[in-house]
Amino acid sequence: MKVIISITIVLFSIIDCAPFGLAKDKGEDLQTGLLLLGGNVPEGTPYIWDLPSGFPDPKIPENNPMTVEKVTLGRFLFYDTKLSENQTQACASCHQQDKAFTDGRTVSAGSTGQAHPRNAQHLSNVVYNLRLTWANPLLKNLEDQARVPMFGDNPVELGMKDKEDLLLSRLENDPIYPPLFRAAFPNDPNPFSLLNITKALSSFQRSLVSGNSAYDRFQAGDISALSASAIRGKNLFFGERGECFHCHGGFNFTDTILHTGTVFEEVTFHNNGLDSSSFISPNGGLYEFTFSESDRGKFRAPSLRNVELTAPYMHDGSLPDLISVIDHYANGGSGDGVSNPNRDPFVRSFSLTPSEKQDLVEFLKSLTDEDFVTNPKFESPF
Amino acid sequence: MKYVYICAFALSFAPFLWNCDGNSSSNETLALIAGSQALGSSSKPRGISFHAVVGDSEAVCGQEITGHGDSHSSSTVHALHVAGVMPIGLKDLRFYVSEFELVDENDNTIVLNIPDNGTWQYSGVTLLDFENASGSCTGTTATNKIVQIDLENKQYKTIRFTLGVPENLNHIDYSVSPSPLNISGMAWGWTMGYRFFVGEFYSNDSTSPGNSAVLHIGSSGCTEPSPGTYTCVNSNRPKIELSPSGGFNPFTQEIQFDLKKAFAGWDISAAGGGSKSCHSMGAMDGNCSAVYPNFGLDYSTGDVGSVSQSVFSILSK
Repeated sequence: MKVIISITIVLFSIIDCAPFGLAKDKGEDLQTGLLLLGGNVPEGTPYIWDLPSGFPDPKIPENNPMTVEKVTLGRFLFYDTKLSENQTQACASCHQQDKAFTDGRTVSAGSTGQAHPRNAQHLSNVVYNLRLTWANPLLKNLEDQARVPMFGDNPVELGMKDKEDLLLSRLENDPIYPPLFRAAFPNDPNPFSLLNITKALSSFQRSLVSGNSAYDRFQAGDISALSASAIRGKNLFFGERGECFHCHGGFNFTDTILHTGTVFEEVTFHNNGLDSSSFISPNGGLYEFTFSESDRGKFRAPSLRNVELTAPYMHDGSLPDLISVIDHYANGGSGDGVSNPNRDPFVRSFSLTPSEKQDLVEFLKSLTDEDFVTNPKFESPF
Repeated sequence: MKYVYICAFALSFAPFLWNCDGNSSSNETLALIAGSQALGSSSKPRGISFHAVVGDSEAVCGQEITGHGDSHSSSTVHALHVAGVMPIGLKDLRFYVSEFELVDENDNTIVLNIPDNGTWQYSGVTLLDFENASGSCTGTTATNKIVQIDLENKQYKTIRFTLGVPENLNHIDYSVSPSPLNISGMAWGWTMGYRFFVGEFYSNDSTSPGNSAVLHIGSSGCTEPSPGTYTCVNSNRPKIELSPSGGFNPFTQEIQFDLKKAFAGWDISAAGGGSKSCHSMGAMDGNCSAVYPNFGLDYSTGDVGSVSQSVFSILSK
């Protein structure tokens, strides 16, 4: 403790005005100082992954190793309405477990009632996402992404802009949190910080692994897990008629994946042939970042894990159910989207009989993981 | 309140420091200023002072701002108003300034090395903060209206500065950045950057109560072609150059920012839904093109435009 105090005083006297505000964010520097002094204290209990068969090891940011304590703290924070300025919403308000962490709405609404332009994404296997949100090429880490709903004002989600001190004092004054923060960040003399909040939230979200669907059991050898219709749908999905797998392939049913074996990060966004009215302000997709007209309407292909539970569909929630989605793709797009030059080449019309469409729906439903949406570890702790 | 604590703490360690808060109205800080003065420090922080107005009125929080006309003899009613409305309630007014240069009478350019001060100034970037969280204002109680630096008491031909955070600091992690680059109200998490300028107000006009005007300027069209290296299509950093006829003396003159001129070109007076916003999101954000020229920028390129900036001017203190 003496060491901490002396380092703190040295820091204070060097950087004069800064210390109080910075102390909250200076944890890592102090931690580094302690490490240099020989006190290599483990950060917590290493989190043991219980990965489904066929799932690769997730790649975790070096500055935020997974620990049991951070996941626990993150779970409390994820479900706590103290994270919104008016204390009406938590992360879980738009990311509800029974819906695979979506909210069932066309587009979400923030804590002040302001409509979000986008449909809430599910969080199944978000640990494997190479990029986050619908089309932001800059958001690579959940830690960075978490600040958007907390502090963003266009739209307002949790409404915490300029309220960092309020947020930190709310948490510090809740008897639940001091022990949870100290356990999650044992090397940090002042664990209550924005950075640590985002680290804990990210750790909890990274634990949201879903891989025990009927499809997974089928893949593991239980051929009774899928109905005959679902098996026909699976063949359509992975076949050259449907071509669904090009954008929704692999263990996570998407084409952008990050794990420890990833050598080349291929970041892809697609225009999926929605009507151009779906791509006007503020829903330009990748165009919002590149200002390149050829990127208008390009979005990230989301994982189809638990897709049965995540309706309505698309970035703007414009398609109400799975059969509408299949009709959209079988038609090669919707409205003027069928002739959009930005349209992905795999979005082209192909013929499916009504029963084949139903087979595809059955297959997509086989990606539902009941354990995931009922797992007590992911439930609200309150 | 954060800054007040910062001040109190810092002053307890270093009583000879300038007051951290250039120009706060809070009693605690005034007491601190008095304390530091009593201890024999410089009577007033030296540097380049800023002042924010709305036409003829002060840009202040906690009260209706009215009477901001150019002239009451004008026959054009909008000339009397900000974005077509009056009175207004300020919501936010903060911006980053950097890259200061002075040109002396011998045409020597002096690049100012703005010192870090732990609160408002870091690595050449200063946050000017005209809101104090009272009334309809958001943000924090602390304010800052000065770029602190020791300058000679003399006349300069020209002062130049950039409204914005330089590119080499624009994409750092704000949650662990030194103040003033660690303020969520100025961070732009969606683009992993900063908002250089935040100006927001409400209409308190009886014809359009509650309508709002929101102007956020920051670099846009940003991508990260290789890890850690960002490029932005539109820099959106106004370059301000002021060369008043009588010159500029930082001891006797200050730089005035006029909110009314910043919002010239907008009209938010339409009843029931006349609010306007510009978040600098490129062509997705059509309202920006009318107000960017007020800052001397062409919105389509984000570079210097054909019209000179009109929002900043030099006045006597």
